[in-house]
Amino acid sequence: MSQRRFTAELERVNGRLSALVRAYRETRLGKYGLLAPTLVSVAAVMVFPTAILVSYSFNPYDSGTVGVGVTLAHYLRAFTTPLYQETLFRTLWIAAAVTAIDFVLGFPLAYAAVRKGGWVGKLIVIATLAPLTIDLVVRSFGWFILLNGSGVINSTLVTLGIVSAENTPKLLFNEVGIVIGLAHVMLPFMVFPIINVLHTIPHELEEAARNLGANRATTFTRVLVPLALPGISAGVLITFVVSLASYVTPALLGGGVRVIPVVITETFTSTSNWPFASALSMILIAVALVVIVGYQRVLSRLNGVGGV
Amino acid sequence: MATASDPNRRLDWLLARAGSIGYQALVYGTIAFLLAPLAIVVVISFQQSAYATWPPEGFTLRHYAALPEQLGFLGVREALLVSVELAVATGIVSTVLGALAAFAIVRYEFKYQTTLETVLISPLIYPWIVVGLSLLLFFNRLGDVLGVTVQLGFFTLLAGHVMVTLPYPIRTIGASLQNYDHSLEEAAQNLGATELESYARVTLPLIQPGLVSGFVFAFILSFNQYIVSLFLSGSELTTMPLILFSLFYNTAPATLAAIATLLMAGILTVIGVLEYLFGISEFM
Repeated sequence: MSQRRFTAELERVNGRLSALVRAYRETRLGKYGLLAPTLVSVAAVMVFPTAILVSYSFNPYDSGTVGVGVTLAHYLRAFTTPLYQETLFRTLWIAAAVTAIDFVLGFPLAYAAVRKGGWVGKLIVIATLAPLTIDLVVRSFGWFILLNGSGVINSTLVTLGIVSAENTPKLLFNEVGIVIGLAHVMLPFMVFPIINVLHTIPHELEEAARNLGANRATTFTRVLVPLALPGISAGVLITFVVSLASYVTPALLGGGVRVIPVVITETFTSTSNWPFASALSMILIAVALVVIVGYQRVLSRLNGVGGV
Repeated sequence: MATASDPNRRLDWLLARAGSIGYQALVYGTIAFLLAPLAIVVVISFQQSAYATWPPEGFTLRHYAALPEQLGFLGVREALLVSVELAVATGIVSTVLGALAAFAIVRYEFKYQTTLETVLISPLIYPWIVVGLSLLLFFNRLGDVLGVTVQLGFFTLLAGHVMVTLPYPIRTIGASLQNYDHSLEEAAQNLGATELESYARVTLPLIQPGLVSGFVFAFILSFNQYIVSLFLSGSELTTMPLILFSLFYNTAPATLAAIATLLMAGILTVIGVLEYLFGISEFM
C-alpha cells in the first residue's frame, strides 16, 4: 500500500518537475539559471576577494598596522629594492627555463605516446599521469633524496669516479633544485595538450613530407610544429604561468633561494604586512596577464587566426 | 661521382641512426625522470637507515612497523580524515557546479560565448597563492564590514578548494557532452519519457565518464592542495599536505618515506580502480 503511494508520489513529482523543465528550458531564465550558480561562485570567491586584494595593496602600512589611504609605497618598494628585483627576475627566468626544458622533454614524449602506441604509449601515459596524482610535498621529498649533497645522484657520481667527494655539484637548495623539481611537476601539463593535438594529425602528412625530400628536422619544424601549435601553445602557456605562481616546490627545494610566491607567504605569515604581500600578489597577476595577452598576440600573428 | 655520393649517403645514414638513438634515449630518459622521485621514496622506505643513506643497506619493514604510534603522535590520522572529507566535499560541489555550467555552455548559445568560457576556465591559471591570500583577506573584510566573524575552518577551505578545482569538471563534462548525440535525449522523450526520466536514464549514463573524471580531478587537486589550505585552514584544522610539509624538515626521511609510500599506494589504487571501472584517462 505505502509502496504504491510512494510510486504515485514519485510519478507526480516527476510530472511536475518535467513540466517545469519543459516550460523553462527555452526561456532566458532556464538558460541563465544553469550558469548562475557557477558564475556567482566565481564572483564570490575570485572577483570580490581580488578587489579587496587590490585595495589592500594601496593601503599604507605603518609600524605593524594597516592604515587608511592610498599609497604606491609597496609597489615602489617591490620594484626598487634590489632584493625584490632579483627575486622577481629569478622567478621569471626559472619559469622560462622550466618551460623550455619541459618542451624539449615533453614534445618527444607526447610524439612517442601517439606514434608508438601499444605498451610504450600506455607506459608514457601512466608515467605522466602518476606523478600528477601524488602530493607535491612527496614529490619534492623524492627530489630531496635524489639531489641532496650525499644523495642518490651525487653518491652515484662519486662511486663512478666522475667527481670527487669534495666536488659534488650542488643540485639542491638553489635555482637548479627549483628548476628540476618544477620541470617534473609541470611536465604533464606540457605533455597532455600536445598528445591531444598530435592525435588529430594524420601520420601520412609526415610521410608525405619525408617522401618529398624533407629530413627529420625539416619535417619537425615545417610540418609537425605548425600543425601541433594549438597544443604546444596551450602547454607552454600553462607551464609558464603555473610555474610563476608555484609555492611548494620552490619553498622545499630552493632553501634560501626564494621566488615571489615564497616571499609573499613569508611576508604574510612572519610580518603581518598584508599590503606588501597584496602588492606582490598583484605584480604576480599582472606579469601572468601580460604574458598571456602578449603570447596570444604573437600566436595570432603567427597563425593568422585564433590563439590558445 | 659515386665516390662523392657514397660517403654522403653513409653520413646521412649515420645521422639518421644517431638521431633515432638520441630520440629513444630522450623518451626513455624522460620516463625515468618522471618516475624516479616516486620510485626512490618507495625504495628509501624499505631500507635500514633512518637517514636515507645511499647506496641502501638491507631490507626492513621497521619504518612501517613504527608508524602506528608515530601517526597518532604527529596528528596524521586526523589530518588524513579532514583531507578526505574535504576532497569528497570539494569533488561533489565542483562537479555539480561544473556540470550545470558545462550543460549551459554546450546546449545554449550565449552572446559572449568565448568570454564566458574564458571566465569559467580562468581559475586554471589564476595563481593558487593569490586565491588563498585574497580569500583570507576577503573573509577578514567581511568581518570588518558586516560584523560577521568568519571562522576559518572546513567551509573556508571548501570555498578555496572549489575555486581552484572548478575548471576541471567544466572541461571534462563539457567534453563528454559535446561527444554525445543530443538527439538521443529527444528520441527518449518522443518515445514517452518525461524530461526528468530522459536526463536520468539517458543523459547521465552517457556523460558518466566526464562526471567521474571531473570528480576525480577535483578530488586529487583538493587532496594535494597545500598553499590554499595554508591560508584558509585556520588554527584548528590541518590537512594532510600541511602535515607532510612540516614533516619534510622535522622527521627522519625513512619515516616520511613510509608515510608517503602508503599515501601513494592508496591514491594510485583508487585511481587504478576508477580507471578500470570508468576509463577516466580518456578525458585528460
